[in-house]
Amino acid sequence: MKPSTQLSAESSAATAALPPLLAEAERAAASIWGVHGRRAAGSGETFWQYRHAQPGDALGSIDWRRSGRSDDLYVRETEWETAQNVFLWPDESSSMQFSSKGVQTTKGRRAAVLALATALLLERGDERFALMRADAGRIMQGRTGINRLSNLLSLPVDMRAETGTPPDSSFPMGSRALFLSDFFGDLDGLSKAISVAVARRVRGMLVQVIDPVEEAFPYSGRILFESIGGGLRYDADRAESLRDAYQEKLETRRTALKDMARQAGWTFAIHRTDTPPTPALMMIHQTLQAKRVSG
Amino acid sequence: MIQLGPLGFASPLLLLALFALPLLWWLLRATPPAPIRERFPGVVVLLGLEPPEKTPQHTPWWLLLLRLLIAGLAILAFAQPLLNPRESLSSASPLHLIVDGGWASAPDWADRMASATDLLDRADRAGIPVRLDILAQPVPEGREAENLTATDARARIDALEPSPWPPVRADLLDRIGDDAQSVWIQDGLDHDGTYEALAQALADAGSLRLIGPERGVRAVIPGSPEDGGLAADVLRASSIGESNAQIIGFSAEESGTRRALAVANASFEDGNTRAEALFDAPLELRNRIAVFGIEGVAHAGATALIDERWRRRKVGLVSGEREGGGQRLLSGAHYVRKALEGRTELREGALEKLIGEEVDTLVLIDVGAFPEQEADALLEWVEAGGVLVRFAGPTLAATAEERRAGFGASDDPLLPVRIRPGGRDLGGAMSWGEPQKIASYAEDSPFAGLATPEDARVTKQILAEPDIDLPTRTWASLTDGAPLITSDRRGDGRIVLFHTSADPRWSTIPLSGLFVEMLDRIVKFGVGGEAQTSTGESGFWAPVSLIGADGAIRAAPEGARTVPGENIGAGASAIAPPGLYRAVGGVNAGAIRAHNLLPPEADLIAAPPPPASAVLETLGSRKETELKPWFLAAALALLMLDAIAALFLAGKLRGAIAASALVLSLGMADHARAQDAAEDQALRAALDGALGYIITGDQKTDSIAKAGLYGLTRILIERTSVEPAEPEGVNIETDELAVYPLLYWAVSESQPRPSDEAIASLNEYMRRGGMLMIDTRDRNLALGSGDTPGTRALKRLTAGLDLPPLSPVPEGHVLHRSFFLLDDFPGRWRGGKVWVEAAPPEDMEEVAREGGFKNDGVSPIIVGGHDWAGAWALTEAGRPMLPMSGRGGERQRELAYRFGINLVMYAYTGSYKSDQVHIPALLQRLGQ
Repeated sequence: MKPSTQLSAESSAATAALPPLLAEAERAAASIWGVHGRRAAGSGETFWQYRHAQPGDALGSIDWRRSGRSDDLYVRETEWETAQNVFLWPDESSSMQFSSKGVQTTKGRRAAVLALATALLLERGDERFALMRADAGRIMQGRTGINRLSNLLSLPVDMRAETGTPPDSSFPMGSRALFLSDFFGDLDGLSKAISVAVARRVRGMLVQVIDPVEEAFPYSGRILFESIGGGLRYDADRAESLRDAYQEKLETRRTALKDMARQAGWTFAIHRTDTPPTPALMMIHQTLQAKRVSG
Repeated sequence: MIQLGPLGFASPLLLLALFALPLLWWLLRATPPAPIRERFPGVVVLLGLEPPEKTPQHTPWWLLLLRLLIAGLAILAFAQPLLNPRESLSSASPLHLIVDGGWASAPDWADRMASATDLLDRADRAGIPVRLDILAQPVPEGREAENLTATDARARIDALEPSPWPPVRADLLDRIGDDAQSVWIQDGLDHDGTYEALAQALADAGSLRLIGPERGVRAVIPGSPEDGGLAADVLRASSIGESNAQIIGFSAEESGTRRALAVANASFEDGNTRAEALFDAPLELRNRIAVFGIEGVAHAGATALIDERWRRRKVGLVSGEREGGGQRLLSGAHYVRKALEGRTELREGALEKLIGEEVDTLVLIDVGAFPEQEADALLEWVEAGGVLVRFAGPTLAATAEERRAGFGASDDPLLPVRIRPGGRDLGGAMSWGEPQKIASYAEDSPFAGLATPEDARVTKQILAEPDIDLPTRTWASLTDGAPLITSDRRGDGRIVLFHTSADPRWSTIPLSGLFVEMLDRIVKFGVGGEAQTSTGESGFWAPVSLIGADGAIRAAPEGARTVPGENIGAGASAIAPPGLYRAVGGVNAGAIRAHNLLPPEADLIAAPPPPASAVLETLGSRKETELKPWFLAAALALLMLDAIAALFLAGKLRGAIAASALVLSLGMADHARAQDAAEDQALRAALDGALGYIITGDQKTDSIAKAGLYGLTRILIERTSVEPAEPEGVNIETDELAVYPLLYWAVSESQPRPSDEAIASLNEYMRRGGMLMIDTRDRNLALGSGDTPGTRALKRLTAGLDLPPLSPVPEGHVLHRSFFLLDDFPGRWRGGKVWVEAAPPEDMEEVAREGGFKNDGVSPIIVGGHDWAGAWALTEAGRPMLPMSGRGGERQRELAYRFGINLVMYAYTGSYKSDQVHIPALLQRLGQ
């Protein structure tokens, strides 16, 4: 057997056991209804609304048929149909490959599901999306894009960093970005990535995907904490005494993230893996739909 | 070496390490338990956190304690702990080892030798000379207080055997040397009253360690022969507490073996050191008892011999007197009867009958002549060792006269002397002024030492013909020199003649106490016995057999030293070891006398408390035991406990516990289910009476056994009123056996040996009336010599089975006729032997029946090798499963079924069928 076929066989065997990512994402996205279009006037072909002509409107823009039925002049506006580019970054670092006992899914998978579900919703609005990955910056759209994205997210990642920072990406002007991560990585790197995006007038959202134990810190006794990759260790003689300090530090980090987002005009949200993905998806969707992403 | 109570340490310096334990405590406290490793992405957040509290989590106190215990045990173990360590000997002065070596040392001789050897080893190591005194053995001249090397002493100790006589301690008292470390391995008895003095002297001469037994020995001595009953006295040294001893009377067989004939119980009351055991046995048994022994004890003291003196005589009495018309007081037989009653077994009747009863002594009162045949028999009896005692009287006198008048001086061989014809005798009587009394007894007569009472007068007697031998044949004479009692040998026996009558008409002797004593002494002659007087031994005696220190009686070696008479019966010593002695020459020549370890009046005296400076040690209790392995093992076990505890603390044990609990509960549920099934099976078998076969585990064997019993069951239902249920396989390890009337066991080589419980339940089954049929299936079963695979398997499987003695089925056994009349018992094979319990030998039948529970003569076991199940085996369809062997064919199968039916009948009805076969004869007899 050739090595390549063997590899693909192995990988499909590895993924076959999991529920297909796409199916899971579709299930999450299916529960969101009535979210259509941009709900804003713009260049497009779909009728959006009639409005009174205002001074400054081009004469050619007046809809005469409508205006003929009344005394006023109306302008026919079409819905804004310029396809948005949404850049998705589900963190795939090893720290995301963690689920505590009793939690069904790892943070990384939840991030991937959220990203893919978002992409599904975007595809419904004929919008475009891209996976922020060093090797895959291509903008995709349509059903083929979804499949491609699904494949990309399903592929095992060989080399994982301990924690993740968003990769460099050349955002088209005015695109959107969705960062799904636990944000345990270098905050400076994140800040740099955000400022690069902001410079391209990108608005976006930070979603901290976090495991319940990472919030609760339910440990006690002598515990040697190891990062998932094994590269980092912390020897706690009395873990229970660290709980307050840990939670305080986590809060500080969240505040820093929130500040960072506000300054960039982005949104910061928290999603725990023990809760269902749909509410988070709803929030993500609404945030990305909004004309102005409020900080 | 330091010592704490019975515990000593060979390397005590290591114990200093115990002081380090507190340090260990502190260290262990400071060292936190192994951390639990936990994967946690938030470690990034944790990094750089300063823990608010630096104190680590403590190891739990119980774990700390456990670890300290481990460390402590390890330290103790390496300090080489010794239980009961031996004290070292000082190298300054010689070791004086004193060994009693007497009879009372024999029971725990090995322990004594071990102690001595151990001491000598230590003396060897210390390099000190040894003085060795073995008190029971005479010291050769000039070797007193000799210093030996430890090796030489060791060689002497190795060769030492206990002596069957007491140690002599008085001699040592005179030669206690100077400063020495004395160790006295003593037997706890004060034999010659010098114990205290010797102990004191030894303690004064240096140091003294006394090594003695925990409890004293017991000894048995025969009761006085003068008393009527047969009794033995048991002696003990300590008078404290009540206890019992069983005394066994043994016979001494020619072969040297003993057979227990009678048992008597002796119970000590508190405060007594002597208890009597009275034997109540029939005369025949009683007279065969030659040795007393204490149950369960084997040493010279627990063995006592008795000789002829203890035998109760069988005396026959024949009276030739004419019946005096009911005047009992005028009948000599009455006086003889009264004199012998209670002391002997008196028989009366016809002469020939008495000789047939093998009486020891025959008393003939005034019997003159015998028919020729009777005279021959009587003479033969005397020559074979009988003692014939004759009393004179009118008839005897008349006969003597007739004889004289007839054919001259032909001697009557049944009289010791020639009798002068009565006429002269009677005429002579007129000349006596007054009745004569007894003047003297011959020195060599059994009457020697008896009194000559004034009131015993002789008014009439018969006279002996003067003869050159007359003085030597005279035992007692009257004041005028006329012989009153004469005696002569005839072969091995003897004839005694009283020249006067047994009734008071001729003399008053029968009215005196002397008469009783005289008869008593004569009676004690016994068969072949000579001069068994009870006083004054003299001359020299040669041992016939000797009692060993182990209590065994052995024939005396050739050329054993003779012993002066005064030693006989006066307690054993090195000169006169205990045993049976025969007089060599002298008046008693040929007499056999028991010489026991202890003289009749002896007592066992417990050793008095030793001097205060002496160290007392119990024999065998102070065995040095190295405890190091035990300490290390304990430490190791605790270490494993610690590992489990550590795992538990690290949270890695929960799964394992749950798993083992699950397995355990599943196993128990399974077991409970199995038990229910077994009970059901037993219930079925009990209600319907199923045949059972023992499951061997060999698939093929079991299926044939099952099919065989199935076939037999079918045939039984067809032909008889026995209608058993389907046969059941029986697991002897677990199933109830009692419900099966018959258990068939096809011996299989592959069957594992049954457990002890299974064997016990089989034994119980057989004892309670079950019947076990063992089939080796290899045709030729020869128990004992045979070595076929089946026999081997049989031997292996039935080892431990309480089997009765077996014999081939005898002719006329119930098995031959319990239903069908059968000549042999074929299965698939025929021609081999079938074995059942051997019928008890004729003479044991009584005993066997009395022993109770002999199952009414029904054998609990039948062993054979004919593969019966193979012949019986039927398939479900009712066809035979296996072909028959050889020429027998289907006819043989039919016979096999018949045997099967007989067998089941035998199992169900036992010997009832055996009685049944006599019914035709009984009916016939009734009809007539």
